[in-house]
Amino acid sequence: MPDGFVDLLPELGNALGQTLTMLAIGVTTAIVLGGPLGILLFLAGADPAPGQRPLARLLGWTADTVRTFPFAVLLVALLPVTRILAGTAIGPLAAAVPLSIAGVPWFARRVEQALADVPRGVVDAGQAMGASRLQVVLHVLLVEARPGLVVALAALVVLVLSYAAVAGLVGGGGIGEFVLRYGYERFDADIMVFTVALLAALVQVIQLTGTRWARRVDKR
Amino acid sequence: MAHPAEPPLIRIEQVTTSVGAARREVLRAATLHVARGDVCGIVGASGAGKSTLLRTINLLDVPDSGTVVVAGRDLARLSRRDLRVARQDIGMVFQQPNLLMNLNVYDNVALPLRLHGTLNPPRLRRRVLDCLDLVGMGAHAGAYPAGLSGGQQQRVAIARALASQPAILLCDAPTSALDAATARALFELLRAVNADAGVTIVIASHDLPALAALCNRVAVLADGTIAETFDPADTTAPRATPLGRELAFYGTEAGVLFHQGVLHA
Repeated sequence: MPDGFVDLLPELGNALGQTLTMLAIGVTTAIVLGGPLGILLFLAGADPAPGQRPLARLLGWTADTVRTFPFAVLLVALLPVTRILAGTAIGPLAAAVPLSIAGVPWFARRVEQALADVPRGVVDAGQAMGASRLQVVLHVLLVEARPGLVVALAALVVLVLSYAAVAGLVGGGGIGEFVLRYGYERFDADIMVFTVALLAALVQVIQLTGTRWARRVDKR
Repeated sequence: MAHPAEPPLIRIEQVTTSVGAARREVLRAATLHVARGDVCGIVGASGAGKSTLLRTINLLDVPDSGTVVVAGRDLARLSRRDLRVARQDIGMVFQQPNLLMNLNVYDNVALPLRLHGTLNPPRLRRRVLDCLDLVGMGAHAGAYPAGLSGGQQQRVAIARALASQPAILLCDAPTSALDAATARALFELLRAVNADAGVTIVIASHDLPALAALCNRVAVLADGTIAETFDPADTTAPRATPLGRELAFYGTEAGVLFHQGVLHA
């Protein structure tokens, strides 16, 4: 154990808690808002009624514009919005704002893709049964897209985790800030290596869980 | 069989239908009447428009012009909600079983009933099991489609199409992906569905001998239009198309023997 490492453990625990807070808020928002948005993107894009085409284009354009921002830039650009929503521009709650805004369109596009990957034939079968568009989405597409959605969810968690680390560099707290303060600024290679390994392990656990879960729901 | 005075159950009049992003015109002024209780075969070369014709009957493909009247309802004039109700009376099986692979057999057959929510749980359960028994899949209710053979999957698809007790069953080349023996068993099942449950069937297929044995009407589709319709049992009248002549041959005793391999050319 390096000198002072044990002393830093409570600090690390605290940082980990902050990261998990950011993760929870970011992922939840992405699911709650990005999920329905993805369904909407799919519906408006796949077979748009004539009146829905402008809406589809606007939604798609908005989603892609947000996604083109490098996250660090989005983080800074959104500072005024963050102040309004979180009441502050520093700390994990503040960081959760840009995290959520970045996660929503990203997850929406993944959901859209997972729905688009469902074979056309089952949609035909659903329509032939007399299902409404909403019923086709809820009872056919979401059921058949389950494995793809689980994979997308795991990727979302990893994405938000890495974004949360970036947010730490500009005062967001969490593991990112911990690494910056104790690993980088004090030139402590051990802390650096240990924290990076911790993050890597976290990502591995998330991926593995996602893959296992996806395999379990996949009956194809 | 249909009462002479009864109007046809399915009436397709001068229907022109285009499909795909390119709006390729597949049906051109096609006209077809199907009486209640009929088994009507649709034959035609690949790309002649058989699938589109079937998909026009439940408006999965919407005609550019012409009318589709099913059980007295002009489908194109119905509201979305009424069209969905009308579709419950028109079951459909496809070339592929198109089952939901992440649902088991029971839940696949229950799906149309749950969508419409008209049956209470015990009756729904009864109906699903009856349908599975009808197609001989009662022992597989808990299985997932991936664990079934193609023929078994298609039987489940038929059970699903019959779950809401439709008056009409549309079959789009349901045996084309199956081996000959499995296909024959499936045709036998369709015959029973028609004879026992009184379901009117419209079936597209390339299996001319099977159609000659199953159908009491056959329509030859050529170049997007109905070239002729006839009763395959009437083997004496002259036929206008090569497919019609071939079908008429399989309606004869010699044709049946030929198909069974007893008689060789």
